[in-house]
Amino acid sequence: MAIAAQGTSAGRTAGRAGGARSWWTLRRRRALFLFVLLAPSLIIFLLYRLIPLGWNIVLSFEHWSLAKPARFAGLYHYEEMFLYDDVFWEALRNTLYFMLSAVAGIVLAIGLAVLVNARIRGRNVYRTIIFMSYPLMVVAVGIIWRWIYDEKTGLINYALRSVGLIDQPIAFLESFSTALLAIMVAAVWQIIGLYMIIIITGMKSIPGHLYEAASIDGANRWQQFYRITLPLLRPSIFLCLMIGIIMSFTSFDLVFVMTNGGPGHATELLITYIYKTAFNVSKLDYAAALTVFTFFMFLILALVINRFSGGEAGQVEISE
Amino acid sequence: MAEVRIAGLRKRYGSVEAVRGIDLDIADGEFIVLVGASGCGKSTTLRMIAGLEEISDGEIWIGDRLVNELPSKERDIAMVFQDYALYPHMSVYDNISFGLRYRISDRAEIKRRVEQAAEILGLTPLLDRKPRQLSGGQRQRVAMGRAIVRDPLVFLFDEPLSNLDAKLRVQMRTEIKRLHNRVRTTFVHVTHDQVEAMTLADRIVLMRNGEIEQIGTPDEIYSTPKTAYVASFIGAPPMNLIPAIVDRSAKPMVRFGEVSLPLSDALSARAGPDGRKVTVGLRPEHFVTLGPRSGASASLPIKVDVVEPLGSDTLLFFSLAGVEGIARVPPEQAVRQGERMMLEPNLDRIVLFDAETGKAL
Repeated sequence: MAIAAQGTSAGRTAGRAGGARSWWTLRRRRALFLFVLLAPSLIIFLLYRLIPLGWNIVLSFEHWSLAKPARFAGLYHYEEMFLYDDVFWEALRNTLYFMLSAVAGIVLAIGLAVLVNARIRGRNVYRTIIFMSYPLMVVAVGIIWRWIYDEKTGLINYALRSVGLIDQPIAFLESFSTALLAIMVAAVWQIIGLYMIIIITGMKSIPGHLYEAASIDGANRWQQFYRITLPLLRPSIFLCLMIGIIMSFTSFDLVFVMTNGGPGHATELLITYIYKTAFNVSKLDYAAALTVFTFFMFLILALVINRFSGGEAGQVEISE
Repeated sequence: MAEVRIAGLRKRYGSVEAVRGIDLDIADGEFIVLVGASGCGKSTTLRMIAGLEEISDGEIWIGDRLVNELPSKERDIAMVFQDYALYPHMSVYDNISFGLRYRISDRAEIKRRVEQAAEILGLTPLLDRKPRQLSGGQRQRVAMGRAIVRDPLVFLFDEPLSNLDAKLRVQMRTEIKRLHNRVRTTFVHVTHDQVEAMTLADRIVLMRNGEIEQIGTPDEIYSTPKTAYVASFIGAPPMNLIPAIVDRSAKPMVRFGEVSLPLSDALSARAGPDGRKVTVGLRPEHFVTLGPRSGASASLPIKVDVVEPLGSDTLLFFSLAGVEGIARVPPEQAVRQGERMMLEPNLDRIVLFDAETGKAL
């Protein structure tokens, strides 16, 4: 009997030890280890992204200012935004228009990438020169282009007048018809180097044998580009598109330095309008509603782009 | 179908000459295998035939056309690459039909040809798949399908089996052979694998340092190698090459230190003067094992260092005259490691090479 009791007790102990082992599995330990490693980033993400976003969403449904306590406002700000605010619609239209600069930039970057990827002397020098605009501070880019567009001392007006194309200087940044386009050109100029590097990286990942096979199959250079290069560059192109769209939502500093949204609201983007609404006229609650709208519009666009890219935006590996 | 004629073909990369003036006539419908070690110039030669490399000097004729200046697409050739070169974003159907789209406008004809090629290669159920959804062997078949739909004058294969595992390689080798039997077009196949060369070729072109070392049927290359290099390259395990000296003090013999072997009359006539340094070539299968104290005059005393049973036969490794030798004996012969025995070579199968030039005597 004593022996049996002893045996039972030992069995229980072993069972408990076994239970502890089965709970504290290698998988769980790995998961904890990964969580510990990720924790600093997650905390920062929570503090500076998720909490402000959540607070913004709450704020967009309230009447709130620094002087008064918050009151529930329901859809008041959204109603104002969609039904009565013409500047909002103009800023939205400009922002969507600004996105086209991404498309133009990508097309140009593909052309440049093809050129500087060819077997030409000094191609690394060309690549470096084209890329050099990217690391410049956006404020510096804005100042450079303000000078280039300047009515009296600007390079473009000087060149156009020198060759006799115009008699009167063009006020690029002061004209309703040219101001946004002028900023888009500056934006493309700055980002094109990055697009080009992304496209070149994509091109480099396409095996050379594919072109050899295609040339034996009878495809000429253009057909090779159209049937092989472009489809295989899809992940790189979508990555550029994503970057371009992010830029169109965040090009605050370039617009701020070059035109500050003017003339009128001709170059007003959602981001500059949000800033002015929040800090120039202190309507933080309305600015929050504008931010929430911008956030969800961008989210939907990003999801659509990712879907069109087959979920592989930025992928450079060719599955062969 | 067409014959291929190569005359004085050279390829230079700066100061390096990769192909050094080769001449080769390939008959219509012949299966030629270019074989050699890495860097011997075989792939460069193939790529020059394909038009993927410029020719530094010489001529390439396909049929009655000099193709030196013609771009690849106008040479009417098809090529299968080592890494298949399938277009990863296209389906199997689109991969196979890619080359036809630039040659044939009739879609029904394209479809008919693709389906016929897919039928031959067993690809019919896979036509909608992308290359990444296929196994290595299936990808290789798609690459072959892309070549055969074109019905070209010449098929070029650039080490097409190198990326496959051993079992699949054997299987695909047979498929290539079967394809050649079926289409009877001129095939030029590059490989570094001598077994592939032996099994596939009507004639083998063995290359070394940018030059042709020997051209011949597999049997000629195997049995009567023109140089010691060819002898050592072809055959698995390769031919035994044992340094020896011609000894004419009594009857004509070759001597390896203390041991000597008599020479046949035919070999004696070519062996040269007494004291000449030669290399004796003997295939591993041209030995018969005898007991430890055999009285046979033409036998070599050896001590077996390693025994490798292969199932179909057994390899015996031994040392002779300072070099390692290999004998292939029947599997039922029980030989132990460390055993001393006499090996009797088949004297009629001995090949002699000049020790300095390596050329067959």
